[in-house]
Amino acid sequence: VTKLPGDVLALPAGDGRWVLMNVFTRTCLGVDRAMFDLLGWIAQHGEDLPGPAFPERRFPVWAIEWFSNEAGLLADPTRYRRDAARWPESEQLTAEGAVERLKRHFLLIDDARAYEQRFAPKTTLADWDHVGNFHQQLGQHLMLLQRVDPNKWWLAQKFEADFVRVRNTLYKAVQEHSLRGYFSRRFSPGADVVDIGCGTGFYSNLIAGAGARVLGVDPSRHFVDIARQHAAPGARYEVLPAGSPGGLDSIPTASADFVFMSDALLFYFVPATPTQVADLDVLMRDIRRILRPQGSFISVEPHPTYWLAPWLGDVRRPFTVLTEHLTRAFSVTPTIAQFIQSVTQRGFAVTWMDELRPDPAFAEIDERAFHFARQFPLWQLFEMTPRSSTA
Amino acid sequence: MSMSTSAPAAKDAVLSFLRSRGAVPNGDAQLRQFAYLDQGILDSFGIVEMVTELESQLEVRFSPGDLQSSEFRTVGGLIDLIERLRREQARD
Repeated sequence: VTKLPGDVLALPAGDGRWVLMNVFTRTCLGVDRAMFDLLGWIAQHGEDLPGPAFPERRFPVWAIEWFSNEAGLLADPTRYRRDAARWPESEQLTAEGAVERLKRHFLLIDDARAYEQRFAPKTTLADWDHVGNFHQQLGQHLMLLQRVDPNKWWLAQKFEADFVRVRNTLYKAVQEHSLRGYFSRRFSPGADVVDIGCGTGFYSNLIAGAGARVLGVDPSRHFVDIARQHAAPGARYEVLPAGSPGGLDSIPTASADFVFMSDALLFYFVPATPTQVADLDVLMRDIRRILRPQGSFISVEPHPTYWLAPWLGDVRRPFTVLTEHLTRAFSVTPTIAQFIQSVTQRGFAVTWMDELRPDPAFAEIDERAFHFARQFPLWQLFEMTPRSSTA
Repeated sequence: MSMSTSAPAAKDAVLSFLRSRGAVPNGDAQLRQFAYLDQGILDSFGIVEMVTELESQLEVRFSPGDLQSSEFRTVGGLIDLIERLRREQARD
């Protein structure tokens, strides 16, 4: 029976146009009010084909769906072209053609069981039958459809070409803005800091700028080479595979006042690739060993609820829709409870938590992004200290 | 794009690539139905390599729709798809 799934929203797009969005599959189609006649007819008649009821009728549709995180991990994740004035030319479809197109975007379904079975991990890079999680979708889009190297893409979406400055996106407006202030308050001159998963060393250099002595480690030689080229005074870099047994053995025991990690711990909960080595037990044991008794482990991670949640509503009065929490199919982050349980079970006590806020000046750069991030935090920060004995 | 006369046959190029990565059936009927993507003989990079290598060797370009088609999933479907693309793209 052909039916409109309960997962579809209709959002006004201006100019008499609407966006139909399946919030679970994150698929969209631009339509106008004619489509609501068709949907109303289908809701009433179910399995019957609508063609004879609309013999001469044409239904305009606009192909507005795109993988909007292609523009960046912190870009608007809502997956449709917002500006109706810049939508592509409409296609004028017959009733049958419109039904077929709606089904392609999961705005109509005729097999509820097959539809439900789509919500599973992708089995290969070329698996289009399963929705998969965000990283699987991103990898498929970048590698297979755009033919882009994900590592090069990651650098390009985050940094300016010099790798020294963060692009003026939410990375800069929320993460860099918040952490600059936090680092200057938190790290006293002479403190020893280890930045695990330092990437190209951007935050290691900022921490060194606050007067600390920083060792940045990352498994990627390419990233560490870049980090070394731009190392700030007080920062040094090593290629070390955190999360694998013995990976951090070259860092002396009780040698750090702080261990810092940013945008790296999520991979210990949801692996990015099937062959990834990231053992949380190994990592947390190493962090305990490296830290001095009064030391702190600081973790800045994407917010488990709001990162990648669609940016809906008015520019200045946003809302979002959540489709999952405890059972995660799309998300690649642990819940807050999973995170806290994971670290407390491994010998740490959580001593502080914060949710990062954007720089008010960013409202001039991207008003929608600013208002969304101001209401719905995109990163969270935890401070943890080793307990004297593990419970 | 014009089709080079020196480009190899689609079947040879597809089989050569897949055989270099793992076992594929010998019988012709079985081979055509062989769903190589579901057999785990290609990892993510293997799939990307296959696409870029076939495009370069056979002078075709797969569209997103081609990569998402059911044809792309089996050996026979992939060969037919490439032959169709070569005919279509040779005309462009």
